[in-house]
Amino acid sequence: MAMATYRELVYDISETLKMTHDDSDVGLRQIAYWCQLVANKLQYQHILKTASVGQYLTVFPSIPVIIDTTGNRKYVALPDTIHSIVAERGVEYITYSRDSECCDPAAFAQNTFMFTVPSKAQTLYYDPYTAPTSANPYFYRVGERIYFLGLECIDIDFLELGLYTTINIEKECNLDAEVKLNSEHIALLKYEVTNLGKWSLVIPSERVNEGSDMQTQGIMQNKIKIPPLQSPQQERKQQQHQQQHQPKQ
Amino acid sequence: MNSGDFVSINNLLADILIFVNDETMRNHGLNRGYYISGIQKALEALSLETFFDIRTEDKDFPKKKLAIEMPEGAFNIREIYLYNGELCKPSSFVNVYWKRLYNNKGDGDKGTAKRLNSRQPSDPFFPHDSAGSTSLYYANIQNGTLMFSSACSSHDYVRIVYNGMGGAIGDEPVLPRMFRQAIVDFVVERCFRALKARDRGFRPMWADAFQVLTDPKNGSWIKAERKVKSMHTWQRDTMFEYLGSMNY
Repeated sequence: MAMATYRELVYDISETLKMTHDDSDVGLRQIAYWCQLVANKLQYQHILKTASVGQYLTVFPSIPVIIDTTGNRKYVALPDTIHSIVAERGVEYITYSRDSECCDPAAFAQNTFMFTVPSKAQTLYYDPYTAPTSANPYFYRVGERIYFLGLECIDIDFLELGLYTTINIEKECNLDAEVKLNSEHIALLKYEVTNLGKWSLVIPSERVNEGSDMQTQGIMQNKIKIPPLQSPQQERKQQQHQQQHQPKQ
Repeated sequence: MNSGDFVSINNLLADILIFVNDETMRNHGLNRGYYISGIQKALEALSLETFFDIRTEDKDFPKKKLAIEMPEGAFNIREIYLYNGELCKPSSFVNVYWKRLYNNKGDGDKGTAKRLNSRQPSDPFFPHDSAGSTSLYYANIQNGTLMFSSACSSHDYVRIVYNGMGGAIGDEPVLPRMFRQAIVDFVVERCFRALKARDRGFRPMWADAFQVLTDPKNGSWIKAERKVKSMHTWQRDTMFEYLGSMNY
């Protein structure tokens, strides 16, 4: 099923904004940028809710393993920006190929890396079953690198990574590219982006400096006055009270 | 009952991970090693309570030192034999008995014992021992060391039959199939116990898991114990025959 392109969405939203703000001048690039921001947010929420969403998964089959300059610490550089989800679930899996027969399951079904954090690493070694080894390796993230525990004693050149990558705002600037989002989320995307647009269009007019005064009070502020809730009898009494005390002209 | 049928760790993990809602092993911060460690601990607890894990170990007999360490993972010695012939192929053997308070700690063929083999007229309280023989094969245990009498040195090999604790810590556990449910429930209970320390919301689930495991009538643990302690039909049949031939 073909996904919507940025062009379709951007023109649609641009038209919608014109309907309510006919003098609006929001550029297509600006709307496309908003679309990417919101699409990333929706992707994130979807992955967080459903734990695993194959549609947003990107597999990098051969990422080179590098040894850092501090010693014998092996890592890979993240090939793309990923969603930052609790327990580093932006990394769906990391695996490496072992010598296997043709009928064996895929590498990621045999040997995957467990998630850890540096502060917990020491306790992993307390138990021989949790201790990091080449058969039971771990990963932790430091910035744009993924480091490993348990690979110290083996030579390994490449790893396979399955990552939930974000829409890269810096790289993706083709309006005819497809928006990486489920079709059922497109409506939500439009709603959110339109709201963003409305907010941007409304705020400047309310905070405009009319130039009549150099004092700060000159800036109009949007204060909504909410009347207190009253019963009809109270309202009638209040009206009578106002009429009685109204100054005679 | 006894069984030569075993299941793999992965087979049990398939159940456990679903019961604790952690198929990705990312939901609770518990990793694969933690679950396997739980399986090993379950097997250890079952071994200690039911004595199901019976093992045999053959060794060269230490003729000079007359002492050897208990086999790794052993917690209960069942039988000890000394034999000649080849390792694991006895041609002649003798039984080794336990002697209370015998102590041969150290590097020598002589030891101490409160009850002696030979007569000792100078001892005013126990001038006479019961055996009076120097060719008895006996041993004692102290702090995991088996200490043998000097008469044992006439044999080349020792066979120790003992109860193990389901394998050494760190080894892949060998899991009897009839304990499958008890081990699964043990690990599930252990996981929720760990999780309720982080989040009180897990307490009801832990309570459920605890009940399923330890219910005195229908808990999986007591069922596992019953299975081990019940006799084979073959044993029961033979026992009936013995009892049936008794003249009473």
